[in-house]
Amino acid sequence: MAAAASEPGSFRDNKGRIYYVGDRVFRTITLAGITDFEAVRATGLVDELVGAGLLIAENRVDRKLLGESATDASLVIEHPRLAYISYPYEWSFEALKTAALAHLELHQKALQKNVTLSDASAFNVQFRGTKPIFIDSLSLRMYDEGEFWAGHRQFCEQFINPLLLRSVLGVPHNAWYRGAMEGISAQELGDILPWRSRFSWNILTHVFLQARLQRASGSAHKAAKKAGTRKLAKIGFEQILHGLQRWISKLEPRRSGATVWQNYASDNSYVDDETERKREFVQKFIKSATPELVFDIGCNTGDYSILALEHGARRAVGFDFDHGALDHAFRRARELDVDFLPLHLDAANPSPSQGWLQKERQGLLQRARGDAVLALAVVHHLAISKNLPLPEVLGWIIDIAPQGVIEFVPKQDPMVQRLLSLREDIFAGYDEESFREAIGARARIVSSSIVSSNGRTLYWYDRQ
Amino acid sequence: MRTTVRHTSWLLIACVIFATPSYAYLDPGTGSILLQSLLASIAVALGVLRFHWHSFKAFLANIVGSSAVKQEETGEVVDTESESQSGP
Repeated sequence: MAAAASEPGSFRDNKGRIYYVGDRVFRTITLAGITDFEAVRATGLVDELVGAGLLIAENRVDRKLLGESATDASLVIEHPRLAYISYPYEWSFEALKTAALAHLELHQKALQKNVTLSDASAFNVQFRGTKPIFIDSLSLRMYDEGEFWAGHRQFCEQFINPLLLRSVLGVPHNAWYRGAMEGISAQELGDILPWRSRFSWNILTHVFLQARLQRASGSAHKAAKKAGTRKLAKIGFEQILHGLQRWISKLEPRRSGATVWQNYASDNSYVDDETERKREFVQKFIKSATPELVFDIGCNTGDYSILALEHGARRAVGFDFDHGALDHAFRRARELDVDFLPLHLDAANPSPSQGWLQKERQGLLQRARGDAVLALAVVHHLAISKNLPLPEVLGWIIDIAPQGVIEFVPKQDPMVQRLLSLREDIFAGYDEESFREAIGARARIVSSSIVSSNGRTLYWYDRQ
Repeated sequence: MRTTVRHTSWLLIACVIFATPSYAYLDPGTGSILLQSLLASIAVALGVLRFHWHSFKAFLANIVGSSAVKQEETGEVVDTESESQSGP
């Protein structure tokens, strides 16, 4: 068996750690955590949550599976491996809101069984399609009568404040969240929210008042010590969770008109039979490739991801930079109940490896590769809007998955003309021959098909 | 019975306001703790109010009721009777 490798992001809790052996995921439980671990399981909560799909499943396994890594472990459990790990700074507003509500639901169910959560990290919620699942089973611990919600501030910073940024100000949370990684503090958010937002009781208390109380007492050791001796009645704890759940379920992104791509489906340069040809080609590719995981670069509202899922792909992860399209795609995937997760990505600046030792959170392609990739109507945006060298763009896409479909959009296409309308055409090397050569240098072209009258062409590549 | 409920309510409020230490591996933040105390106090107070709403309504009904009785005693009620008598 391969040697166990520890998960670089799993170091905060002294009660255990995540290890990988090949494709399998294990969790050690140390002496510090074993009493709580067993007590929580004795309540029946874990079985209930796993049964409801809210918590990742677990199985006790032989410690020997981890070899040397299990020396400090009192117990080793195995979790099923998730197909794709995503981070809150890649989620749409809808996804972050869904994760927040799932977190609160789980915490309320836990409290009913006298169990609480030791933190409120958004990174502990993952998605299978659009269904949230809590993955840190070790942050469930027995509730002590009178204790506070230890994760309240973290919940505000990692869920509520990023949601408010979009809900009140219309600013998507992704860039700030990715930069700060631990979320947005009440102090910072309070400084930029408009004065009128104080009329919302929840914003007034969870943002402004919390920041004020923190500021007033934060530096004073005495105040901190005194606060640490307080008690919170369980009924109060439950009321806070319930109140937040009601509030968050009503939060919506601030409408600032349709975003760039939300209207794409009705406002692009295709006519219907061209779309039909495109769909046929993608369908043929998917039926032949039968991928476990499709990456859909420039997924917009998810048309081709959903098409792929209908024709043999097991799950799809889509990427787009347009927030409105992503929210729409997320809601659509949830309504259709398909295994499709749309995520925010600026392909010219993908999520990096970052955090402690620059290993805590992994870069986009370090986390997983797809079995197939779709890059439809996206290369021209990267090569022309972002000035990225065409061969590098194609190299990056081909690197994502061993096979895929990439669309070439010629310069005479109205969409490209629009991109060039206010700037000099410095893209002499942007033509179909260079496009074909760049693919050919890295993979075999299985087939190609012209799908529009002005020469849009789909290329099916295979580098196996 | 009502005294017991009142005592329990005060005990709950006291629990929220007064103190013994608890632990966490995450620093919850002083601001968060103070805010939670406040929110919980309000939630509990509202809960108590809701709990007592019926007694409050009964109390109000009682006041209204007793004033009605007074009116009856002073004979003002007779008017309604005479109205009904003057009907068709």
